[in-house]
Amino acid sequence: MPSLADRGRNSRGSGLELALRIAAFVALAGWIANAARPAVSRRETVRGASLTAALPRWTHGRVDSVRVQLDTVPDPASLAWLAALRGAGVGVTWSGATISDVALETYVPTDPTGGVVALVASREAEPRVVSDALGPVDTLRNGVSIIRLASVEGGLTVTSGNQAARAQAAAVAAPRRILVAGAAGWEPKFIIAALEERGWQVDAHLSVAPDREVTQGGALAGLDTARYSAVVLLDSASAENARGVEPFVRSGGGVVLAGDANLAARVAGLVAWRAGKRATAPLGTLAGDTTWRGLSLLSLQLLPDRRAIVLEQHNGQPVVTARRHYAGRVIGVGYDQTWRWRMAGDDSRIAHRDYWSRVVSSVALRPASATSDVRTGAAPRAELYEALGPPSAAGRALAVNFSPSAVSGALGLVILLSLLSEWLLRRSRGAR
Amino acid sequence: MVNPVAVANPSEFVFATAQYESGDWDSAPLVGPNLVDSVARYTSLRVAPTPVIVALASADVMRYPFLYLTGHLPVRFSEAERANLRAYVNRGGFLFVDDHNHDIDGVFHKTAMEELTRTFGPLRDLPNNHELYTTFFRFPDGPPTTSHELNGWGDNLVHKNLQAFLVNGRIGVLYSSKDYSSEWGYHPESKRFYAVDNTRFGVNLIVYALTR
Amino acid sequence: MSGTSRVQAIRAYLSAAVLAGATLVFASVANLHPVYGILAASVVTGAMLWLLRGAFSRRRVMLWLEERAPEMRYSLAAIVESPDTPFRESLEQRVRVARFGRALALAGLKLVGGPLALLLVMQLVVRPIIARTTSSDSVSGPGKGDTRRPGITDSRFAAIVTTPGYARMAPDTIENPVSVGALVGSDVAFVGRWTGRVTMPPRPTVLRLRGEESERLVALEPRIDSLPNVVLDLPARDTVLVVARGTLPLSASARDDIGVASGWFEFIISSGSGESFKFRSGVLGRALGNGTRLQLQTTLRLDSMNLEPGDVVHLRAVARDGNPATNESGSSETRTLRVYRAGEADSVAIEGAPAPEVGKSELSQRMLIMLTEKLAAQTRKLSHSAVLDESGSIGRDQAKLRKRVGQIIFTRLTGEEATAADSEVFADTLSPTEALLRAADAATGAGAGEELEEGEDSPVVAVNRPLLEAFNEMWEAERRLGVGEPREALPHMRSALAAIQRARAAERLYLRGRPPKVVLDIARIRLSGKKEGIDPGRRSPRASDVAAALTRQARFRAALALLTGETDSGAPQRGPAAAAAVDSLTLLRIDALADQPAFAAALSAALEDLRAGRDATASLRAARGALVGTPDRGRHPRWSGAW
Repeated sequence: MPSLADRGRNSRGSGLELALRIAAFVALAGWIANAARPAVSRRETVRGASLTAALPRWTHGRVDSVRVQLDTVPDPASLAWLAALRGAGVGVTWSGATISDVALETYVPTDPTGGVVALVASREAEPRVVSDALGPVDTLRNGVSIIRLASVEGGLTVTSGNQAARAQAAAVAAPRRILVAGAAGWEPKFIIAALEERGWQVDAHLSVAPDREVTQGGALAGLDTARYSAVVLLDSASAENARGVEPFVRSGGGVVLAGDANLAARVAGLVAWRAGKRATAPLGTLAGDTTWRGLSLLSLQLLPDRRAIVLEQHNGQPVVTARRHYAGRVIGVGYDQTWRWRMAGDDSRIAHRDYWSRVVSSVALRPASATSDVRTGAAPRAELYEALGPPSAAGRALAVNFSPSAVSGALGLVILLSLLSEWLLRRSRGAR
Repeated sequence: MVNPVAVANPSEFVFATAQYESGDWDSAPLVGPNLVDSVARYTSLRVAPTPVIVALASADVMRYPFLYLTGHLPVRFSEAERANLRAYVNRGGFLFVDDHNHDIDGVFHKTAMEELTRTFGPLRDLPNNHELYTTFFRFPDGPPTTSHELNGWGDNLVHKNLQAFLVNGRIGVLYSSKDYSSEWGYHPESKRFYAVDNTRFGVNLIVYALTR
Repeated sequence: MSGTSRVQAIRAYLSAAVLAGATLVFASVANLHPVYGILAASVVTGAMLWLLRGAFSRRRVMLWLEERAPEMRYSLAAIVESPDTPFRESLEQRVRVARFGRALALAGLKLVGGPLALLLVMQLVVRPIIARTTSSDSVSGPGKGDTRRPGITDSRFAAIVTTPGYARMAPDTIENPVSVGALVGSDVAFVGRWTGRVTMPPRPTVLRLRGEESERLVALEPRIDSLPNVVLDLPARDTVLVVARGTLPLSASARDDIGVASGWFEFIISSGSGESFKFRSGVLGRALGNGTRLQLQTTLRLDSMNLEPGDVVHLRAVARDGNPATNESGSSETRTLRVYRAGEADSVAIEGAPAPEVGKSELSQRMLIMLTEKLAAQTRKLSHSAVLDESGSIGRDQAKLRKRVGQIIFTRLTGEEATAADSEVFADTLSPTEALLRAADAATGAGAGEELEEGEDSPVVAVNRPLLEAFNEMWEAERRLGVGEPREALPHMRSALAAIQRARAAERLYLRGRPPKVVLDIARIRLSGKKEGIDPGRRSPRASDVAAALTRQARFRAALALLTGETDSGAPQRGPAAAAAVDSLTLLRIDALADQPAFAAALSAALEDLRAGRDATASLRAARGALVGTPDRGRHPRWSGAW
């Protein structure tokens, strides 16, 4: 019969054995549970080209941490997928020293002919290929960074090096009407003609006698951004007679002041310049000379206390100036005989037409877009940073957890050791 | 094109008579001053007091977007005149051609129409409700008749319509068989003898050219 | 082979021949029209099989053989009817020796040869006749007619272009045409799958060809025959005739890209002045053309034209194009021959025209300069006396020219014909120019010389000033040449030539005089007129230059949308939408032919690709580039929006 000491040793030994058995069972349960998980690594590093294949695996494999080495910014869907993984707690890091910088912005200009203007930002040394659904359209070199396309099929893509930026210009409503006012003469006639030929809808008020006007369209007093995109005032009398110009500009409308309309007191609050003396071209100057755009001009002297930018100069003197006024824009044009430029040649006729359309377009109110502007892919690197944060070096990767196979091995070892210990304990106390 | 005169007044209207190589282009020298007088008399338009003569083959025609052409004799444009005139009208110039013979069987009419057709294509009758007739004064019946028509001179016809060649919907070439050259060919001072100024339609032509 | 087996074999042979014949008959009739042909062919074939049904019966074949080989003496019948007969062996022996090969060959020929002949007749004779009578419904164009040519099968489609006879060009065949370009008036015959005939219209047109199962658009692109280019060689310049006597040679040349039909000279004679004019007109020297060039030559008999002083003959050459479809004419510039009228120099309406003698002088002066230059280059090689002789000879010619110019100036200043002595009267004491003017002064009393000396020219002296300069320079050159100094004479001779040329230009522009000057005081007149009736009407908008271009771009994009809707990539597009797109692009191409030929040409290449089932992306991109032009490029604007 065993002694009390033996009984006490036996009871301690059996308690330990019980604990070892329980541990073995627990480890076994853990081993089984771990074995039920898919057999994937919990830390992966892939190159960009393999990303598309890796993303589903990572999603179903409950990856804890991934590192992506990128040559180009992933497409928007892959990028969104990575961002979603990151949001779900997966540690996503990336590196991409070879990614080319390129970004693209497109918009439809305020112009009856429509088209698309694309602004490209990239390293200027690299040629940038502009293409649409039909293929390459043009290649930008030597610092060219803006391109205007008359027609684009589908979205627009700019490729610089190995990186492409994609954008789709939102559709906008056609610009509203333009109001032109002045005393009847060749300059108003040909400016109206230029705008109408270029597709603008023009309302006109041309004074021909005291209290007598040749009109087209609405009343001069009814300036309203709901009807007009811009107003063109061609002489001081028309500028003095135009009522409601300031509120019109304040609410987003555009004003073009040509010739001595820049002198009118009524528009003094809108401008940041003062019209100087008229300069006439020297004898022998061609009417088609584009530095004169006609044969005379008024220089526009900038006022020191107001901000404006100079768009064109003649002999160092500003001739075309522009500024913002609240939501609207004002442009001053010093040329006052542009009709001579138009009549000088067939090319001049087109140039005159396009010039005045450009002047009006640069201030005309752009109606709000009816559709949302989709810009995914337009600035790939920025979108990459927004989705995944800044790049990180390899050593800064997040801590890596055990892989399923390592866990299985560890648990198996625990089971083996527990059962061996329990057997040895049992044998040591003489039990079988 | 050489600019011989620096123009102080940028949009001043200058009445220009076309000088062509064939025919008697200067058969109505007083029409210009008379119409300039009328423009000053009724409108506030800036107008040069002295009309000019400009050779049709010269690039100088582009300085005068309103051009008056008349004569009695056959009109045959040279290639240079034809090319210049075509460019002039396409760029926005307004050419007013008047048959000083008032005779549709006359050589001016036949040859001028032939030359204009060759230069621009066929001219069409201008409807009498065209805005030319309401541009400044109102002429509800279309072009006013001339005393030559009423007296039965020339072809003994009262011409119902003027003819025109339109560019983008506006008149580029206006042709008259009504002999306004005789009707308006008098010294402006004589205008006071008329109960109704018969040059009022001429004002319409000029206002049309300046506003359309 | 037993008799029974032999009957079976011959029966199979005859059945095959009958079926072959029936098939040929069917083919002959069915080929004419898909529905009616099949019906008629079924009836004919059924009837034929019914009539020849005996070929399918063993008994009838047996009897047919017995009939063809009577030497069998019904042995075959006995074998077939009673196969178990005890005399079978002897019967079989009799059948074996019987011969009916010839009968079988003849039967086969009848059964197959007849239908074969029928097929040939139907194909070669009947069908073309029927096609010719029914082709009027197959074209929706302006013409109709011939349909089919030998050697062109149904699967082929071609256009045969025959130009008008005057062009002398061989007919051209265009296979599978998308568009047909030919001279206006050409005959265009379509043959093959779609048939029809049209005459090439003067404007680009789309022709819709309807076939039995499908239709096709073909663009007709007329090549415009340019108007004949006519140059009036003689008279070379406008001319003033002192008297209207003698004859004037007229010469003109006409040239055309294809052919000139005829040519003639036209003249209009205007008589009168002021507001009263009379006119006569006529035609001279009509000639027929026979090629691309036509030379016109005749003489104008001035005596017979009853010309009076002041009359003007307006003369030009006209040539009619050979194209009967256009029948248009080209004309030369007009020359005027004016009969001089005394006293007209005082008018404000002087006809500007240099005298022909000046033109001759100019040529002679140029020739004299060349002679003098040659002499000046050889002075070192020649002896002094030889130089003096040659130089003196040129100087005498120069003197003759100077006197001729002097006579012209004299005539213009005085209105009278000059004699050789007129300009030499005062030559001993005065300079030649002064002498000339003094002579003119003496003749008219007009004081021309005094005005010249005072430096304020009268209009008449002013217009003659270049000629006076020429006269002066010639005199100086003459003097230098007279003393054997050709090198020193040359600058004066060249100045004389330049002065003559200036004279020609000046007279062309300024000789007409000036209208009376009316001085207006605008400030005094301003708004002094009555205001009644002033009611300016509204202005109507001017048409847009770009509207048509934008519409064309929209049409192009719509066609592209149809194409890209078919496939996701650049794979060949097929299906009804692609066919609609091809039709749209064809119509667009016709629309663009006149004013955007580069776009039309690029579109043509795209259409070729689309019709051939090739990837058209590149060609469509090229067409788009031609349509919308080169993109505008620049740097980032300072003023957003457009600058």
